[in-house]
Amino acid sequence: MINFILLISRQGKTRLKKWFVPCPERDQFRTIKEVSSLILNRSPKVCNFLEWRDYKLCYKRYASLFFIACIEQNDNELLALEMVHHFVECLDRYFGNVCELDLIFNFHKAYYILDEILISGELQESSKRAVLHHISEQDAMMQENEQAKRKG
Amino acid sequence: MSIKLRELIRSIRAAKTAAEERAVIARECALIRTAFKEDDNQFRHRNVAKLLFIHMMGYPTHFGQMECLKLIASSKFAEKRVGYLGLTQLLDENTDVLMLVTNSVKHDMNHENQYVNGLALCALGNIGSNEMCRALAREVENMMASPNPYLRKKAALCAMRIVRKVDEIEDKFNGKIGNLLEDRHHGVLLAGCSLLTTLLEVNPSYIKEFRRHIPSLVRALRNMVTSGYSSAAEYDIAGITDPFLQAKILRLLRIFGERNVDASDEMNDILAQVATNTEGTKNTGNSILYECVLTIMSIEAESGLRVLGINILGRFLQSRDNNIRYVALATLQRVVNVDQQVMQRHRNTIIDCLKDADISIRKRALDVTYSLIDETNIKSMTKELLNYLLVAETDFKEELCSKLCMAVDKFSPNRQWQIDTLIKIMCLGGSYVKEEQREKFCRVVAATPELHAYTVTKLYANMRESLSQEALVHVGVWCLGEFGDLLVSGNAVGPDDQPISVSSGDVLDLLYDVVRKPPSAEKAAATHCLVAAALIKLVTRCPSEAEKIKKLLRRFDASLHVDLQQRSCEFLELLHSEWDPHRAGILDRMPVPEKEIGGADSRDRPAPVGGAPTGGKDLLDLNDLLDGPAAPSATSNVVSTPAYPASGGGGDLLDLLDGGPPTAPAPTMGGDGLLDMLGVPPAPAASQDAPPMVAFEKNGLKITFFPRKDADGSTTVLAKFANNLNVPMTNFVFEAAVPKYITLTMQPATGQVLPPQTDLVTQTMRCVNSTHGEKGLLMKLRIGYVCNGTPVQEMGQIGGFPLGY
Repeated sequence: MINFILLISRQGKTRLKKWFVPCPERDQFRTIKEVSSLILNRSPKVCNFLEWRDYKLCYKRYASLFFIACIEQNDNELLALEMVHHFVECLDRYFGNVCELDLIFNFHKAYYILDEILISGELQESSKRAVLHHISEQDAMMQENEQAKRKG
Repeated sequence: MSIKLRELIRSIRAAKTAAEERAVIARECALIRTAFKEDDNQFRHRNVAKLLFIHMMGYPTHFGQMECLKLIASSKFAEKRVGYLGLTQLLDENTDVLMLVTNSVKHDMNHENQYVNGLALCALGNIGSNEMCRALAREVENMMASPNPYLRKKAALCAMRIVRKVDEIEDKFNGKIGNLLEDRHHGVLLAGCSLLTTLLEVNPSYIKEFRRHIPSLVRALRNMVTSGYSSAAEYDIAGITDPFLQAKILRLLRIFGERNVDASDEMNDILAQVATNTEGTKNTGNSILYECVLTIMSIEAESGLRVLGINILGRFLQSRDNNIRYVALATLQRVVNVDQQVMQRHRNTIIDCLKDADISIRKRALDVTYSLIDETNIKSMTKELLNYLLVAETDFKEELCSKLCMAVDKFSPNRQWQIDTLIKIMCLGGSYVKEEQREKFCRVVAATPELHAYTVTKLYANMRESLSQEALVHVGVWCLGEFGDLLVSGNAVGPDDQPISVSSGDVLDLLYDVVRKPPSAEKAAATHCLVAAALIKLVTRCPSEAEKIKKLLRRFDASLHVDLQQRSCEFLELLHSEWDPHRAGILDRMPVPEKEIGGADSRDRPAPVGGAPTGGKDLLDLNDLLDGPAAPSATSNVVSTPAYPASGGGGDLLDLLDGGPPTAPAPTMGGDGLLDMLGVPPAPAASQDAPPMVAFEKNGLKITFFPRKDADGSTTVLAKFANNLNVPMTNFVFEAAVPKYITLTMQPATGQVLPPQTDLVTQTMRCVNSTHGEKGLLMKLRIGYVCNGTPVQEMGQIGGFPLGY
């Protein structure tokens, strides 16, 4: 299972963080600092996997963002990279050519999309079409709410 | 007026300094806090959203927790959504506040709108605590049978979490799993497989029960792998249909097929099909192949399938892609026990990976390399690993050294090679070679008498070149001490088989250099202790240098390091003329410890040969001394405590000394154990209402013993200490040691100061002679006191007790 997912900018700023195991806030921030310094300092030519404490960190750089997934020792690293890519593709289809700025101003939407892809560290939907369908339906419900509010 | 989320983000990003950013955030937090206090319904969800952004930046936001609860309870979807997001971000399963949410979550799970259900299930699945899981298990179970696949899949993953978290109800969902596995919807299948995998990991006894689902899993997998699958387009990633589901099924098959031949047969075909048909060009395909290979290697696969798997691994190893190579090495590590020949075939590739630029790959290659070493390739592998040691990072070095030493000890073909390699490791590894390995090396050397000369010559040559490697220096110093005579005997043969001449002076010079510039400044004292021990041994082996040795030892006798000072004082004492007859015996070669040396040893000879003159075992076998201190006895073996606390008399000696008065300075007999000293000459002091005996008399101190035999066969000795000087003796300490067959208990002395011209201070000792008088009572004494500001250490021994004591 995936223990946590982090999105870090190249300057080390957190753009998204989701923990699937209980972890107190203080430890979360400490971990983020440790992990980002480890990963941001790696050369671009080396492999995308890093052993850290008892886990494996799988990371991939998309434009100016690093997507980091922390998995268990006996998990499939290549598959973890695929899951990250799956997430990125969904984001891309939703925002249309997603860039870091989209994720900064719409971080809550990124979280909603992540909630449709992963629960408790495991994948729940492998079809991008289905994910986007559900997201747009929920967005529509939010719109209805807004309209109802304005009317009433 | 509450600003929009967007505005807040913009203003935070516009802040030019950290202080400015903090100010913006502090201001906004204050506004938000006020809004919460005023129970502002309209903008609550916007405020919580802003709070979440602030939280992600790392600022404290605990005051928002209760607001999330309020939002969740709202009827509007938009508010619920933000509320649940806040819940999962600001709280975790250990927060107490979470319990309050249970009711809302339950309510939402029964809501008519699927997305509200979805929100609730998500929350439970991500941060559900033990209590929440228990409370909501029934709802989750119901939803697993819902006609809506959206809910089924989420419920299944919630069930997975419940199984993980709550012990007792793990079998609650067993009935439903079957249906999940027969489902057509990929999301549900994925969730079902995850649930089953987790269940089987938690409780492997269920594996048998669920094996009946193998056919449906195989069928699902086959559908995906063959072309013409109906929903292929929707799940297509890089030409492969739903790689995630394929990988999940493969993993599940692995659990079923392990150690079960029938199950493995069922999945044989499909595994072969996946292995051959999957394209290995992109990462997607490779992830499937990786999972497939892992499965093939874990189950009872038939040979054809196994060959297929191994070929894939081989391909991976040769790949130019770093990720693939890393994964291949990781797999090799796992399957190393399964098939040795495969491993050997790829040995060269693996060794090349040791030199890779990528540190992750290097580390993996190192792990695999250790497992590859065996008798046939030990020499070449060691060469490679030694090369690697030169360039390895510091955190690898220690592990590498210890693993290399272990491998060498286990597999070396003969002693000489073993010693050579260990020396090489120490030359390169420096201080990373651990204590145990150094001691082991010494042990090995001690057990190989024919190589003593060779070893000491080699070490001498290496030390002449460089004194910077700590392990080498320590071991070298010890060997010089033990075998120095072989070195200067004129028979020494250099590395190129030319006779070399080393004089005693050279050896002394080398030791002097070590003293002046120890390899490690912080541990200089440890090095000096070893040098001191070596020096005293050299007195007998290189008698011409006695003066120089004395001078060198004197350097330490005022050292601040207690161990060092004690050693040098005792050794200097040994150089006094009265020890002449015994010195040779005392400083004789160390006996070979009994402990097995392993590897080459067990192959070359059946039992370790004790090359050195024996008797070390019975450290205090003082039968020879029964005739009185004047009797010379060349073989009297109050020998060195051997290097390792594990063997021989060293332990005994220490035990005896510890039985002494508690005020005795703890005889720190060498923290690293390479101590070569006898410590305390025991003084016999058994008596039995016998006439008083003078046990010791020197420099104005006179000790008289009043022995008395008790009814129970033990002996009580009263020692009286008389000070005949005109100055007091302070810090008076009296210790005694007895041979092995005697048990000695000492009472504390009545005082530690001996006033001048008195004999008031006494000390009582009790001895039990287990041989019941067959062997006489002997005792060796050690006395220490301060007189006129100078510390004095004296030794004595007393035999000549009446028989039967």
